[in-house]
Amino acid sequence: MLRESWINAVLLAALVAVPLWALAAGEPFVITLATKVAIFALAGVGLNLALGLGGLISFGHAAFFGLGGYVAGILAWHEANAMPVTTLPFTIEGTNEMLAIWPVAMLVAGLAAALIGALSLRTSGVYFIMVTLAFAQMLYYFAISWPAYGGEDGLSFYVRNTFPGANTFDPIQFFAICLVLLAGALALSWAIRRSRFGLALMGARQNAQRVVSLGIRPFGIRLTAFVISGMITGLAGALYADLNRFVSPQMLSWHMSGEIMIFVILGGVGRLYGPIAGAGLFILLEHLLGGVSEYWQALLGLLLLVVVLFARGGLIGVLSKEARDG
Amino acid sequence: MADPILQIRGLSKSFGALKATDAVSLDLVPGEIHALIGPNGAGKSTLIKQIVGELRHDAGSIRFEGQEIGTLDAPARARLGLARSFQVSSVMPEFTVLQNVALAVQGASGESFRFLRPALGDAALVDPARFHIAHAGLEGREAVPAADLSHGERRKLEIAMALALRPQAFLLDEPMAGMGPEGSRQLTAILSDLREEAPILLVEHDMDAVFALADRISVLVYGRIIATGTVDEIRANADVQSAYLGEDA
Ligand SMILES: Nc1ncnc2c1ncn2[C@@H]1O[C@H](COP(=O)(O)OP(=O)(O)O)[C@@H](O)[C@H]1O
Ligand SMILES: [Mg+2]
Repeated sequence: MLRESWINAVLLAALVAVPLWALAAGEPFVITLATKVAIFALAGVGLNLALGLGGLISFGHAAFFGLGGYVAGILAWHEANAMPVTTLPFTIEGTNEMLAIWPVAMLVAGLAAALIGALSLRTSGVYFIMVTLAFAQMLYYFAISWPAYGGEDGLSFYVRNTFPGANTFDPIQFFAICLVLLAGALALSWAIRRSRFGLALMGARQNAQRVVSLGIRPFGIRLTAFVISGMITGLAGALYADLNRFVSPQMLSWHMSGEIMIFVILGGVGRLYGPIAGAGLFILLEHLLGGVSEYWQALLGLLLLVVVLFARGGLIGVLSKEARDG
Repeated sequence: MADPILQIRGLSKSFGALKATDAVSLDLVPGEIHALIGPNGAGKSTLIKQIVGELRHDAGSIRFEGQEIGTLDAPARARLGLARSFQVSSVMPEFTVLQNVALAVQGASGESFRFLRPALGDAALVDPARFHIAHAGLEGREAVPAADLSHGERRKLEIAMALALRPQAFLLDEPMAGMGPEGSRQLTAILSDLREEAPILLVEHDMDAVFALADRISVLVYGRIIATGTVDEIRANADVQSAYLGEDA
């Protein structure tokens, strides 16, 4: 355990040090990569609450990621074009304030998670996976076929949204914003896993029948976890839209759901810092191998296979176990 | 006799053509250990499952402290004070002994929607949990993951979790199953004390334990109760002899 906290500290230090080095070396692209890691890790931290703590194998977290992204994109687009989002039943203006966008993104993602969770949590096992996937795909096809916001082509907004006192166009400042939010989400997950709620959630994953016999209804516990999970992933989606100043249906697709799941599994399911390790490794591989061969994803698949077959604890599990033995 | 805490009348349950529970009537009164014995497949576990709400009964009534509970779901019945243990040990394997019992205390408290404060820093959970762990004979094993416990220790953990619910009635499904003679003796002593806290409906195959503990015994055969009485009455009952006791004795 001690060793795991060391690994966590090193991971976090690396996530801070790499962009600082890039800043000094004048490599803004590396800062962007680190920002991507922080955002993907945040999405993974969200999923990890449902998947790692609750054992809820959601294959539809792209729904929340994409909804968060579209909230950011749509609000920014309306602001840029000086058109209200709607005038009925009352006027809602667009905005380019991150502090206004984030709560809306989390609210929308949370509502979607409440709805999807309320229906999908009545099933379990492979049906749960399929129902979550189906909902995300519905949103995906809806985004493709809805022309108002770019449909298949997606929606660009040319100015990154603003944050008071910061220049969000400066890569290192935008990175810092993402990092702080990631740290906040990590702190929240850390608290949740030690809390009464976490105890009930993890208990229900291990033995739902037993939890029931102790007077606790797993459904409400799981639904709450699913909603919090969706909100965090939705926030990550809003940041991702801002990183690219672009949202597209791709953010809602099952590829995205799969990638978020890969971050969690590579790093170690249920490990607090697992998503950082997973997202970091993913981006590293994509960057290093993506240039060499288009087939880097095949290698990723192989790596996943190795992790799932031989190292269930993921990267963090492997590293902390080695240390315990040695 | 005092008013029963648990009163079962005409309870029936079929699995297809099989009548697993056939018009069972049974009382559990304050202060007693009421043993439920019968051959394998007689329907003892099925009866317990209907009482706690894991299975729905087809007909009949289940009254708990005067209230009909047949329509409540399992968590609601647990919260009213019906604690059960499982025939096959059923615990949270990754949790430590302390976490398992703390979760039971938490279930009884009804407050699971607390997100920030650490559960194991909460004296309202941990103090009672440690007390019940000690009561069940697991003192010193608090930090051990349940998966690493011996079989006998896991049975004790089941008892500690049942105790932690501070129930009005215990429903224990073969708590001695697979325990060595020493473990059975310890558990017999614990159960004997337990009846002071709440009456026990005890399903048990270990006849030494049953005869040592039971105030009353009901004999279940093919889903029907064929006799209810004191230890001596049951020993003397000819039907019981032929249907059940005769096989072993
Ligand atoms: N869910 C079920 N579906 C079908 N038959 C069942 C089910 N549960 C139990 N039974 C049958 O009901 C009978 C009683 O089982 P059980 O209550 O486990 O007996 P006991 O606990 O007395 O050994 C057995 O014949 C068993 O096979
Ligand atoms: Mg049985």
